[in-house]
Amino acid sequence: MTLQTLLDQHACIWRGRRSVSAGQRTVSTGFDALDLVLSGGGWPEGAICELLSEHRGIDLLPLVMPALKQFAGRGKVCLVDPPCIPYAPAWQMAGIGLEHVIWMKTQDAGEQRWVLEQGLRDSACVAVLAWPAVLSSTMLRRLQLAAEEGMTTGFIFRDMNASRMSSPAAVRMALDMRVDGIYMRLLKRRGGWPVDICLQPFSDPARA
Amino acid sequence: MLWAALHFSGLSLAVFAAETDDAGPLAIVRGNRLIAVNRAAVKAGVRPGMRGNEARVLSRQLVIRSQQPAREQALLERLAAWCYQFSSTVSIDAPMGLLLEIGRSQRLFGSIDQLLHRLEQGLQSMSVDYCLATARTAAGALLLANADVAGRYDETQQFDRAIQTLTLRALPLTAKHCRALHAAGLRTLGDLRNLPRAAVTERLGTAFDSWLCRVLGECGDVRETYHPPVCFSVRQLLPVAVGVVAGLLFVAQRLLQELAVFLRLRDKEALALQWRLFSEDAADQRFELSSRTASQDEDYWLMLLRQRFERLQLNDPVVEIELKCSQMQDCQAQTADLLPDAAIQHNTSVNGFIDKVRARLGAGAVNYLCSVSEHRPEYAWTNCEPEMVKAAESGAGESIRPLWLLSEPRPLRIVNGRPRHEGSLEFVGERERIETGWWDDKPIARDYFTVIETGSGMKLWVYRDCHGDRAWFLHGIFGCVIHQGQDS
Repeated sequence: MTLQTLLDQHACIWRGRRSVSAGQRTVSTGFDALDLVLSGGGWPEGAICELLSEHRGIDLLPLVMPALKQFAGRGKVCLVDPPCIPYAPAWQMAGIGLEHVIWMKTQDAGEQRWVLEQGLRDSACVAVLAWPAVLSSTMLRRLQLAAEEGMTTGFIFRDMNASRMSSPAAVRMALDMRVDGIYMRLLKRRGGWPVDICLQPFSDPARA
Repeated sequence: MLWAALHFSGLSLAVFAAETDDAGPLAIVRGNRLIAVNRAAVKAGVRPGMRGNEARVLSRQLVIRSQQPAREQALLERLAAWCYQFSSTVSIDAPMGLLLEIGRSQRLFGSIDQLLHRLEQGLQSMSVDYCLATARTAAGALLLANADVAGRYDETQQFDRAIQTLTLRALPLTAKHCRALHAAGLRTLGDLRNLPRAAVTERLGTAFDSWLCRVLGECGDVRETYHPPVCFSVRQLLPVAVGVVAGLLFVAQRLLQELAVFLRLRDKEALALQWRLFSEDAADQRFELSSRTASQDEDYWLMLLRQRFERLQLNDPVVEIELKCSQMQDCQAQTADLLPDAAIQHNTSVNGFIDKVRARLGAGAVNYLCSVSEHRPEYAWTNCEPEMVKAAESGAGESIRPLWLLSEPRPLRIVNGRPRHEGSLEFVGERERIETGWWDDKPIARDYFTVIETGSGMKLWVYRDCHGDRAWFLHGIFGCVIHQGQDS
């Protein structure tokens, strides 16, 4: 058995910078640059993806929009306590069927955690988006297990200072605004080292 | 026709079963004489007919309660409703009897023995003392049950032999007649039947004669049948005041089992249940559990109740629980496909998930979005029920709208004549003027602009009032500006 056949057969062997489809089910992100670097070629099903930014993830919604279109076709998308009102006309124009979007409103952190766990565990929901104020890594571990059980993708949007803590999420990325474009720093991904990718280079100073 | 009669000798005791300890002696009093005593009291030597003081001397721990006819009647009706699953002809023979016609139910249960076995099993689990007798006539079965003669007397000869030995006390005779017959040396019904009929009728009256006719099957017996109520409403006392919500689950489960029987009888499914928890000072806490898909399943309702109980805080200890169900719909028979349809299965699981969340967090926790045809941005969306969400008409050609809308427009400060958020704002795109709403009291006249904030790179949706002080506001957020399918 040559080394090559060994590498080809066992997809879970870690390969440094080149990530390889590990037979994992994924949903395409809609951005070729991201698809290339994420294991499986997209957002993993049955796992948690952490998205960090300065504004606690409000500005990262366009990043998951193309994937949400695909999710909405297959099941329900739950938004748990979004920071602002999801504007129905805009979501409709983005091509997302509103009959598949559920907006959960909770009264306190305990209820929020319960709804998150139930949504991830239930097979009726295929995607859960949350903007929790505080999330311990134990709770994140529980959510990861719940997502695996229900084969749901969880998108957790957090503040940038969460990047300093370790996390059991399968994918972690942070928004990085640089002079020459919008970059995503992949802090963690399956089957690969952290890498930076450019999502939107700035072609001219006007940044139109 | 085969009739089964049930005589609940322990009915007045059963009314208090929830409140008192089973093992302790209990006696029911009417006036100042005891009319019923339980086994523990009998052991202590207490007998019906004694006075209260005598009884107390015999047993110090004796608990004495006055008879509650209204509650006995209610309990009898609940038992009748429960027996309705064994026969469509149920008759209440006040104050403590029930009559069921079981001949026609034979085929459903396989055999009369199986029917009676299930009936007795159920009655034993309800902890009410009863006596069950069957006979070919309704009055005959009742006669045997009231006389505490239990058993099957389906055969005419068997029945005749049984009733011959019944004493005069079991017959509907006045005390005066009883004494007169006793003085004449007659002791049993057999003795009476040996006398010429006409003479007996003359002495005891036509009422007795017609009763005897009915017992022997010589003439018909028309009785009022019992019909289960249209709405389900049942109250259950708790043995002790319960201050912890988890302690209510056991009783709630019993009530749900009764509800399940009721729904099956009426061939209906429940859409919503109303629960009330009463505390000692008659104050009550009430809540409602509803389901998007009607269900007959008691386990499903128990699961929803558990979820609701997790969030429930009891104001006072609970002494009584009431369950009402008035919203029902006809049972919709599920036709099962050979190849299960994934869409239908998915729908049922989604409804189950939504019901669970609503039961635990309240109905307002789960919302759907839909867009409204309206130019004013803040009214162009609304929360609604999923049935009202129309299929998306993708607004091609309409102006762009932000993915996030702020619930209240946020004022922007002006620096050097230009609006500023956390960073300076750069205008992109065209101005959109929205001036509308003059017909109700919320007119708006605004110029909307799309801007990009330097520093964070976020695209924002701001507007400026056309009238008044021409202030600038932030109304929506698009997010970071990234185009799909961009190569790195």
